Amino acid sequence: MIRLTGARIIAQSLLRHGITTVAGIPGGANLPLFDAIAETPLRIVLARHEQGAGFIAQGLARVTGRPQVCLATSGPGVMNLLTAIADAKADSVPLVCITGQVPRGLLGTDAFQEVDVYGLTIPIAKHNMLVRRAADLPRLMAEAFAIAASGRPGPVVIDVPRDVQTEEAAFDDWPAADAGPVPALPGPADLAFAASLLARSERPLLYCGGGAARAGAQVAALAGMLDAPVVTTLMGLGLLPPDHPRYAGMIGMHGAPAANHLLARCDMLVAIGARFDDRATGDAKRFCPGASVVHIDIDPAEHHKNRQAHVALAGDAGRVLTALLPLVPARPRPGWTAIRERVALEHPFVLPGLGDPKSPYGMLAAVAGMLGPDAVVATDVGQNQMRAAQAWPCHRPGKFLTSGGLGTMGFGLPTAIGAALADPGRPVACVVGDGGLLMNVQELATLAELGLPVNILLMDNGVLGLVRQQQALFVGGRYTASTFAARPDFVALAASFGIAALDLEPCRDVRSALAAALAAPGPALVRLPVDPDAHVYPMVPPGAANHEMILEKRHAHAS
Amino acid sequence: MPTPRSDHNPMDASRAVLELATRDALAALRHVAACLARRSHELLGLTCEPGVSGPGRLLVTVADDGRLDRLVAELRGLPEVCGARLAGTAAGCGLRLAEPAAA
Repeated sequence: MIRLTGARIIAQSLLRHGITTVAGIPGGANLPLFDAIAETPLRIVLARHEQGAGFIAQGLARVTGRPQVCLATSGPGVMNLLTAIADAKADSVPLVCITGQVPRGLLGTDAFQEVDVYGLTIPIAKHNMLVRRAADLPRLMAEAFAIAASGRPGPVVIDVPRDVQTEEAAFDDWPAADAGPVPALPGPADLAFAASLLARSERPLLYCGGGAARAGAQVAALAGMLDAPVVTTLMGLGLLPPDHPRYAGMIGMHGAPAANHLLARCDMLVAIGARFDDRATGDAKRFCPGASVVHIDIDPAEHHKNRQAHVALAGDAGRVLTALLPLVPARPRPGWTAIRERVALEHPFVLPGLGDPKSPYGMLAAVAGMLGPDAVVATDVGQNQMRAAQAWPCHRPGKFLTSGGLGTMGFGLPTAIGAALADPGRPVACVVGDGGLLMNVQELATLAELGLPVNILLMDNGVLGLVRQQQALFVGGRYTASTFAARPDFVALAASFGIAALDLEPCRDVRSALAAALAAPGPALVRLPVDPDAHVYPMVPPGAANHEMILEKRHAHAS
Repeated sequence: MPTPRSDHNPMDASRAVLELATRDALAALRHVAACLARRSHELLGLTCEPGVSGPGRLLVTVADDGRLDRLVAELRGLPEVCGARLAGTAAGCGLRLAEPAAA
């Protein structure tokens, strides 16, 4: 017979599920849990804001591919965590979020620091639980990890009243590890129908999202058999290396011009682990308008949501493709190859300043080259994110961490900390703008405390860049509330946290300065001044089709 | 092959009844209601039948706006729901049966 308090059951469950690090902030309602965790070998990372804790856990989860844990106390603690939970749901990141709650007797009384965590998190979490008895915790913890990791991953919230944490429970044994149900494969008739459509197609194109991340080999194999190009969404970056002969680039609002033009020409779209998000499709009615659609997704709820599919195949992308591949006849499609080559020539993608390390693209390229292909990059949201998506060479999935679905500014720094915690030997870059850095700037203290080798690449333009760009292009150049009148001295700010900082503005030998900053142990901040009117191109205007991109120098406000 | 179209006017829609088998009907209730709200389904009625020792049943009446198959797929994915089927449609459309809701 095992006798433990609820808090100790949680702590032991974390160990049993392979957790080594948790991120969070203690408070009155979760003190027993922190106390119990302190008795174990688990490492507690004290974030400076619960949103930071949530994103640190996300960084850990996105790099390891396994569920990771964040902790918050009741009331404001969990309110601060909500954005990170919603972000994890949008990007299918496995998290287990354990929140303290007021004691059971005070539930529903508007007690101090009481909010309805269960109700608040229903629409933004994959699942949530309010624990009413310590005896339920062994089972609920096992279920939480299984649900977070299985099928389409996502965040699970476990709300634990303080007196449940201190309540003692007796149980015979720990529940067996539950890997969750293995998703079934599509039926043979559906697979055969999909294969027949693929065989008949003349201009097939593979459109891959984050759900295809573990299926790179199968995607490449199918592309080879069909003689087809592969395009990815923002979340699919790294599925194939940038120099792969089948890779045609990222599509969408700031995607590669040739990739966006190919979409309009294909007659067969194979969507793999992608959900036809509006940032990827542009005007959905004009996205691959003449194409048949085969949609492979582990979440059946995604089928026919934004685009009706001719064949919907539910299941893990790798397993479905493995079952589909033997049914697909391989044949060259020279006509399609000729079209692709012509489109590539007609719509080249030249990033301005790529050779100048004192420009945004040039700095990204220079740092990527110095850190090497194993580096992880965590971006923030905005122009910095789009520039990184366009310029950072992603060689493998799980190396480009970005808030793709929710688009959360403030994501970059804490997520980079989590990525560095996941693999301390791996170089980590954090690409961020000044607006996004200020949204979770308090985590500089966490970073300094941990001494992790996170290199913050700050693109400092003094504005909300992508907002300003939209104002320039679509709001008549009226820059309402997008300019920061007060500009922090970011080098001094970093120094105040004890973080080494480099300002590239006065540098003459930028490459040498960058190399020295990156080579130094511990964290570093590199500030690059950026022209607030330097726009990110191409840009698909809202409501336009993907091939109707605004290109550089094509718009009066953009020049 | 032309893309299949799905254009329904919710105002003209008939009704459908979904039957959900649940591990815990009361716990599932809020998740089901939230799912309907998030996907902008018109909820016309909801009956909760808790089981004596846990498993129970929900009967959900919604407007049939052409998205029922997808809604059933989404509801099946909720952890508290262990089975979902389209139990029937009203307005003279006759009974449409999907796979039985598991107990």
